[in-house]
Amino acid sequence: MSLLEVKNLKKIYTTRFGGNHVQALTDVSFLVEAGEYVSIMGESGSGKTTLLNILAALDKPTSGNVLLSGKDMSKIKEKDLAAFRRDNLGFVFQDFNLLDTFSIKDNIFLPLVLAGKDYREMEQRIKPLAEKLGITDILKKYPYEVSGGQKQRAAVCRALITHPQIILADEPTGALDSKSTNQLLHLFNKINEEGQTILMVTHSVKAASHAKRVLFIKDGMVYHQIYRGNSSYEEMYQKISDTLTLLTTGGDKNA
Amino acid sequence: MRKGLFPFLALQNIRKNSKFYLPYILTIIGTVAAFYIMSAIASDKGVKKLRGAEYVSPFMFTGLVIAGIFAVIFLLYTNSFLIKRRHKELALYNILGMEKRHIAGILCFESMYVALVGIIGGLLCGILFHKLATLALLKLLRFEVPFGFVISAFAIKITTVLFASIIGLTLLFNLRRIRIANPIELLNSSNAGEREPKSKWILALIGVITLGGGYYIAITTKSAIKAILVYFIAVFLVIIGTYCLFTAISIVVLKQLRRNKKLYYKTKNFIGISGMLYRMKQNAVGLSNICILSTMVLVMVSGTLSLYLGTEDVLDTYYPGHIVSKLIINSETEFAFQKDLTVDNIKEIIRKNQGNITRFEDYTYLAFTVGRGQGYYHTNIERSYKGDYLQLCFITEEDYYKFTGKKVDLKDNEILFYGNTLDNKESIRIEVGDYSLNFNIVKHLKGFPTIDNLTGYLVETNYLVVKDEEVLQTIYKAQKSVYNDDASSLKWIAIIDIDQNEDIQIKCANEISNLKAEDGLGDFKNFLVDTRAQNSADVYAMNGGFLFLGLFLGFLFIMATVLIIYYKQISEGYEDKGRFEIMQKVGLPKKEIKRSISTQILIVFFAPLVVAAVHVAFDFQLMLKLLTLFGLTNTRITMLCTLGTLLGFGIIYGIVYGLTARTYYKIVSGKH
Repeated sequence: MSLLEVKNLKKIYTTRFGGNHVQALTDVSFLVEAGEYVSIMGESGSGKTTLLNILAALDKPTSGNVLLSGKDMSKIKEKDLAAFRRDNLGFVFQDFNLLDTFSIKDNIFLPLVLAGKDYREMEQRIKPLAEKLGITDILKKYPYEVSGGQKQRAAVCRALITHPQIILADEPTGALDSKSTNQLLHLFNKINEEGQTILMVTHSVKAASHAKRVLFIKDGMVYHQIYRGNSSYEEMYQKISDTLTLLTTGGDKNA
Repeated sequence: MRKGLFPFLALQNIRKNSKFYLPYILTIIGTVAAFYIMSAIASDKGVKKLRGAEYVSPFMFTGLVIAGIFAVIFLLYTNSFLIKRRHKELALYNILGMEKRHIAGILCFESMYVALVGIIGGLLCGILFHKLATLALLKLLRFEVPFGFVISAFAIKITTVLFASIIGLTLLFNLRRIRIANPIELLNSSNAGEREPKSKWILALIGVITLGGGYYIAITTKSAIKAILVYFIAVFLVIIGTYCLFTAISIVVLKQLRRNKKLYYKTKNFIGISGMLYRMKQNAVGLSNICILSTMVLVMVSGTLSLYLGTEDVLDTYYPGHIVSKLIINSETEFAFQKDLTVDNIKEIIRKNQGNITRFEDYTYLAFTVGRGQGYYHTNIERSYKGDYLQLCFITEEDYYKFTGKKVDLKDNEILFYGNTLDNKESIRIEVGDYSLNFNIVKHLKGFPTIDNLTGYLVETNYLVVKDEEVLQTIYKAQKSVYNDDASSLKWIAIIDIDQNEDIQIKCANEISNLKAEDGLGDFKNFLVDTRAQNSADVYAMNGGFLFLGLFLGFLFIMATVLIIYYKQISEGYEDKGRFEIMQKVGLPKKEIKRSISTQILIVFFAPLVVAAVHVAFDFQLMLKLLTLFGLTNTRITMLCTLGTLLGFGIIYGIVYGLTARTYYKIVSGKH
């Protein structure tokens, strides 16, 4: 059984007035195995964000299912959804989504506090994580006092601290400079090597090139996928670039 | 740029921002109307001709000045809120290619619209309600003079000039802001970094001290005369304390709570405490303003209301009978006061006016000030005397019997004593110059009748019942020998009720006041005759004027409070929207978020009300003392009025909160 099974997802938005239908996802299916590091690429409007929102249980598909460890997410009751998200999913966002009313440490603790964990356990969990992510020194600081890269690492820490089954990252490098981007991507590789499953949505070729597998979405469908196999980051980068070129130029001709 | 564009854009802007502008314009209308009414009444020639108008006009004038100052401060404050909210929009204009002078042009038109609608609307409302307010005022003052429908040109003029200038001032203020800011700053100014509030220990300490000091003064002040002296000090301290309480004390307390890890890392407290910390930081000043305005409304309305409702009580204190005559006796003359002859003459006058006497009470007393030593009294009080002093009031056992129906049989050196200074001592010593008067206290009395109200309230008074007028004379002479020209005289008071109408009462009083030395008064120092009838109009005019002023300013302040609450709700809403979304993404159930936020909002908005109620509770004693200066000693009325005002205000506050909270939730849930 795969960790995450996405079967025939379809999402149609209906505009508020006039009843225009917009098809965001036509038919998306793929599997993610435990320990995988998958990148989903696509242009703006290809349906990436819609897909991620459905995976995050923030949105419901028009048809199709998402199964996490065999459990159908669309069957979870509304009131249990928040707890489900908290316990099973870790989120990393483009704009960090740290609350500026909390210190970095308290931001990281937030999901644990919500889950009603004991304070001592929180301290035990944060210590090794913070060291690994290199944010031990800034734990006492506030989001507005630290750099973008540090904020994002804090957000990763917040995502990891609940030991989620899968990390969902939405353009995690979108707001970072190149140095911080490199740091973050290596971090993702590191935690993936330790067994953490990661699903990342991005349109940065560089970010995608760090994944083990890249899915390409176009017009609401999975169009193509590339496995890294034994390629280096540079080779992977080249492969992705080629595929994207094909997608945007050749793809249109073939369509 | 096309000519009609500015006016058009300005109109669009106001319409688009109606959530902010509508309350602003309504406030201007309300303030303009209030100001117009006040100035119209203050300048009304009809009112000036009324009896008691000498009290009313100054009140109205005071009200006018306060309302004017209030209008300036308040409208500038709301304007600064409005323009801050619109930074982004103005910056966008600039970036899209409008020059600053174009933006200035738009702002000018906006101000013009606001001014036109606000002032004209306000004047119309004012003219409409002027009549109603005048009727209410006359009713309060107990006047029955009919007034026609009047439009005061004078009031229109000064109202228009004042408010046009205020709005002009806000425009200048806004223009300056645009001139100095660059568009990027304006674009980002609303999400400038949120610093964590620092614990301001010193400020918190000052807050505790000032608040404690203010309260301490309020509850320890024993006499009315001191109450006047300390009232403004206490108010000042409490205002400072209130600002410190909201800005510093709250944050210190919350930070201490946060330091307690076990308590802090509980789901409910975690979000609550940190949320409150930021809310307090951002809203401290606004909340202090709400709190102080609320306190003012409460104190003003409850004070003036109890004074007005207690007017009959006040009249009872000042004028215990239909006719009250007071003779200041000259005890050092051959041509002495003959009480019996005087009483006969007074009765004769009343009989001639076809009146029957239904009550005739008279008494003689002597009251003078002494210094308080350790266990004795002394007359060693020069003008520069700084020590403790009080008043001694002597009456005879015969008069005491008249008041109380209690027969006592005292010897020359025996007295009955009433006062709270000599705790069950058996004797009393009054040092007069070189020698001393000594009396044995036969009995400590539990209470004492009101003796000629004027003596009692300003200074603490002890009452002493002595054997007869001879003893009174001895005491008189003793204090005369020390005080000389400053010495007090014996006073004879007669309180008379008759069974005739007020006109006859006044006529009798006039005739009594014309009594001469030969009619029994002797070679007197002064003879005053008052009627309750003549003076009740004055007292009602005064107390009614107070109440009108209290209600009027109360109305203005409530309006201000409402607007501040409304704007606070809006700004809180926009702040919380972002937090709400993040928490949802991190995994907090919607319900939980809503509950947590609504608890915080409740605390934030009801804290000022609670603090205001506490202020009022502490102020209560002080207010009682102050009211005695106006002759009101009825604690029950004051208590009921205060509770009633508190309740009424609480209800209004609750309704306002409920209505504005809807706007808040709309913003937070993104449904606007």
